[in-house]
Order: sequence, then C-alpha cells, then structure tokens
Amino acid sequence: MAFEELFIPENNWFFQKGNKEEVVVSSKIRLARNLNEKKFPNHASANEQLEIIKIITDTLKLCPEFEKLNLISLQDISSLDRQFLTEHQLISAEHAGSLGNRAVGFQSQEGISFLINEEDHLRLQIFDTGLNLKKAFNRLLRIQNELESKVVFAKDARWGYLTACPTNLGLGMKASILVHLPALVYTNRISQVLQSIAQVGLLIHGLQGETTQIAGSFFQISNQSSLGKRASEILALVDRMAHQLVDVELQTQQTLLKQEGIKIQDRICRAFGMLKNAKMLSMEEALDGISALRFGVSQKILNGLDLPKINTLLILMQSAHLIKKQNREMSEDELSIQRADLVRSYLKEVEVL
Amino acid sequence: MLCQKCHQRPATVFLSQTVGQETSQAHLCEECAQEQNQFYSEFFPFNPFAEVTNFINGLLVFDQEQPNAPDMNFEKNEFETTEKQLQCPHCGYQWVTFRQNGRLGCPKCYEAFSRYLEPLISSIHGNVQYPEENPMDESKSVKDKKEDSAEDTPLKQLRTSLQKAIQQENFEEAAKIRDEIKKQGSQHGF
Repeated sequence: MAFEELFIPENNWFFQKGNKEEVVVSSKIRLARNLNEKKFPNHASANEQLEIIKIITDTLKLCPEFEKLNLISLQDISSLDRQFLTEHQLISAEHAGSLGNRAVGFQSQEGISFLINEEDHLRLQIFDTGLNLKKAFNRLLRIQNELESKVVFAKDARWGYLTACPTNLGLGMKASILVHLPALVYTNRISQVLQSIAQVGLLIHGLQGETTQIAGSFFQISNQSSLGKRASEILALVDRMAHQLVDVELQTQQTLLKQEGIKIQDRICRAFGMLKNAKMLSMEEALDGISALRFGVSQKILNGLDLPKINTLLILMQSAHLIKKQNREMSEDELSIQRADLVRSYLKEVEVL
Repeated sequence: MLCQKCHQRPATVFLSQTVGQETSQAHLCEECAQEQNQFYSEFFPFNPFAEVTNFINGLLVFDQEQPNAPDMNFEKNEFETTEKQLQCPHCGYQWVTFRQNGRLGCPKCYEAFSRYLEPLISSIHGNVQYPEENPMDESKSVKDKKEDSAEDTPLKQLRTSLQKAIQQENFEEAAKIRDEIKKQGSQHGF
C-alpha cells in the first residue's frame, strides 16, 4: 500500500489556513450510523463483517463524489500502516488495534474518512482547519443524507440513531475542537477555564484523543451527549465555547507580552534555538518546543513559519510517519534523530523578529 | 496550583466528569495521575480512565444498590432472576454480555432490553428523548424563533449576563446565572 501522496502537505486538509487558527487548530464532526437488522461489528461473525463492509462500500461508490475514494481493508495492511493511518487521523486507535474485518475509506484532502466496522458499522468523520464546525457539519450532513437515501440506518423514535454503545445514542454526533492554550497554561489560569468548560457539560481530552494526558498545551473539547438535542444546539454550544477560549487565550497572550514580554520572548526563542539545533528529539520534547513556537508565530515574534506548516509538522513528526518515510525499521534513538532532522528542515527560514 | 493528591508537585492534569447534573473534578500532577485507579475511588464516583463498560456497570450497580432510586422501574429480585436468561431474539446477544463490555449486539437489542436500558440511558443522557422534528436539520426550530423575537425576556437577559460573566471570567457568578437559566428554562417547558 503506497501512502506517498499523504506525505505531500498540499494533499491534506491540515495544510490550509483556518478561521481563528491562532487558537483553534482544527474542528471535527463525527456521526455514528448502523445498518438496520445487522449485528454490530464486535458481535458479527467474520462473514457478517465482510457483508457490512460490502454494503457500505457499495453504497459509498454510488455517490458520484466518492467514485475515487481510497478504500483500504485494515486486515490487509501491516500494523505500521495502521498506525500511520491513525497518526494521520484517518482512523481511530481502536479501529487500528481491533481484530476482524475492518475497513476505511478516505479523502485526505477534504479531511473526510469513513470508518467501517469500528465500534459501529459506519462512522463518518470530517476535519477542517481552524474553527469551522458549521461548514464541516453541513458537508458531513449532505453526505449522510445522500447515504441515507440509499440505505436504511437503524433508528428509534425515542433514542434516535441506534449505536453499539448507548452513550452515542441520539444524533450519534460528536463535535470537537482542538485548541492550543499556551498562555492560559503558562499563567495557571487553565484549571479555572477547564472547570468552566466542564460545567457547561463539555468533555476535555488531551491531544491524542480519549486519554487525559495533556501535552504541549493542546486540548480537545467536545460535546458529551447528543440525545434530546438538535445538531444546531450542539454546534452552537461548542462554537460559543471556542470563541470564548479564543478571546481569553489571546487576551492572556497580550497581557503576558505587556507585563513580562522579555521573559516570554526568552522562552519562545530558547525553544526555537533548541528545535533549530537539536540532533535528537523525543516526541514530548518536540511537542513542547512546537507549542512555544506556535505561540511565537501567532504573536509575530517569529517570522518565516506559518500555522499550517506547524500543523503539518505535528502530523509528520510522529513515529509511523518517520518510519514509513525512511522505509526501514528504526530504534527509538534513530527515530529521535529523524524527528530532529525533519523539525530542523522546517525551521531553516525562520528568524526572530 | 498544587496537586490535590500529593500536595507537593504542581497540578498539570485536570480531570473532570459530569454525570447527569453532578460534576466532579480533580487537579493532579502527572505522577499521581498515573495512579489513576487508586485516586479515582477517592475523587470520582466512576473511573473515566476505565472502559465505558466500567462506567455502565457502575451505573447498574448503583441502581441495584438503591432499589428505590426514582429511575428504577424494576424490582431487585426480578432483575436477578431474569437477568441471566435475557437474550435478544434477533441476534442472540445476552444482557449479561452487555453488562460485561458495555456494547450491544445489534440495533434490535434496544427493543429486547428496553426495560433495563431505559434507566441506564436516562442516567447517561438525562431524561430526554429524540426530538420529533428532524434535529439534524440546521434550520431553526419554531421554539428558537419565538425566543429570538421576544426581545427582552428574563431568560434572554440572563443569557446576556452569563456571557458577560464568562467574558470577565467571573465563573462563580456564571455558575449561579447558569443555574437560574436552568430553573427558568424548566418553568418555560424547554
């Protein structure tokens, strides 16, 4: 399986400028859908799983816009390839790690992927850069409606779309944003802010999805339940929170620069110096450094780097990407060397203003 | 802020869980966060690190321990005797398997186990139903329009002051206003 195309930044959704991109890295919508009368993937036999894949891929192929969809059977590719797809955010870690017949269809440039036989028969997901929940949702809704005109999804009058896990009932919808809040973390105001996010019933995760590890001041925020609500209400709730976070983070950045400008500049420039010169970089070091760099770029302390490039670096510097790029097995140390090489290549033109 | 568990290292991990109206929170350092299973019993009713299974089992156990809980609509003994045999006629999935892994066997399981699932679903989502008019549709519902046209309803004023409070990061005040909105909202029937 060749993934070369995915290494070209322009071929991916994340290499685009986005609304409020200084703070909101990306927006994501996910819809969980199941075929009527078919067993959920984890209860279905191997043959039943294949049948589900066939029904869904046949339906997708009926849509003119998906005639050229990349379709991959996950059991046909190596675990490295599956990790690569996970790092590229085209499948979930659960999807990559599960046994049985699973598949994915994707268009990376549009940020669209169809996870087949993950926890549910079909999970439609779409990414966009910056804060763009409504546009992303409308795009996904059009696709959902088109599929629903060709196939019957399991639905109940009281509980909405029926899903393998009762937590996803209702619209089967998750709207999330990935935000970068370095100033709020630096000033320790983050806990107060996260508390207020939790109080309105939103969920908070770290960078890697459903874990609580907070790395590089990146946070994922999403709705919890989608039963008893309208899609527009869920979108509005997450969107309002996003705007508030953008305002409070940018205000805090400005205040910080006013009050202790030289200290902040020092931190950013040190991180820049480290990334620009390091010969080996662990994932954690790279993430922390890039977090400071991002702050520097959005406050115009650094020149010659834009946010889409940083977003691309965040994807490409992950282990499976480095291994596939070199096309050979590598030790942890070799990975660190390759990661440092990649980061340095992105920082060649960057200078302190 | 210092870690709420060891009170020594700075808290870098923030954990929060909302179950129904109740929110539990903890600020911890990395080290203490690693000892998740132990501290969860101290800070949270349920362990969000564990699989959803545990979360769901937690709710079920909770229900069983409180046979008079308002959302319980079955007797404890009845539950115990029928539970083991309960099976979805469509796919053969057993209720006990759901209790082990938190996943159902097929869409028809919801019908087959509806009596047992109802209280669980209310615990997860609140006492709500799928809206009658198409909720996926982006266009505004009749209710929203009415609310928008009524200029200075008390509810609208409250929402404006809530936004102000949040902008000024006056979170205590914001929480008070939020509760008031909830109260008024339920009186208005939405």
